Amino acid sequence: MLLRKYISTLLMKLSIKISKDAFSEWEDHINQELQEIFNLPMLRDINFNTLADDYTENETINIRDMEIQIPKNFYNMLLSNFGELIENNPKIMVKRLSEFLEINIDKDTDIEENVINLVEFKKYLTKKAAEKKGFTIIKGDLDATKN
Amino acid sequence: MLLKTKQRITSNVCNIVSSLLMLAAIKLHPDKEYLEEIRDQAEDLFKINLWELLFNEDFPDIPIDFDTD
Repeated sequence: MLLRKYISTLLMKLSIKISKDAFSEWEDHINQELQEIFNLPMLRDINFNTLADDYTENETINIRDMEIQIPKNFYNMLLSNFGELIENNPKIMVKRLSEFLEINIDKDTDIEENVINLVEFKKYLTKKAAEKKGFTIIKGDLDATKN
Repeated sequence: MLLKTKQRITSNVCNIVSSLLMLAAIKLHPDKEYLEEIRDQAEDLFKINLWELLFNEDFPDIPIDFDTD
């Protein structure tokens, strides 16, 4: 959906350039839309390895029946950065996030289970990130929460 | 005179290409609803410029017939 929006907006921009005066009143609106697309956070902008160093305090979050200790605000950071992208294109986002974190997400089952409930899905991503980066699991079993 | 005709043809062709691109963009865009106004504008632009290109005259102002009977 995001890609379609991007290509469409570029076509509109080209259309305005070709025609000298038609559609000129829409130019500001189209420019704004392009800017919004470009300003979406990208995975490469976030360094998960240094993230834990930035937050010295830990906090405990509850995911389903687990308690995980992670750097403070990590969960909020994840939600604020990825929430919009997940809503726009969850399948591509899951693929890219799983590649970035080098975690194995079963695209057939995990996506179907988790995308339906966005809040659960975000928690699931946090859990996966925590698992990869070795944050402390106080109580519960990571594998047990998968099903 | 010849230069004027050439300019006019160039302008018509540019506008036709531009309107076709705009219509393609609207077709591709996922949020089509708010683009209705631009689509109407693009369709008008296409019609007017095609007319001018084919018949080498201004698009006629057709009076709108409000009488539906």
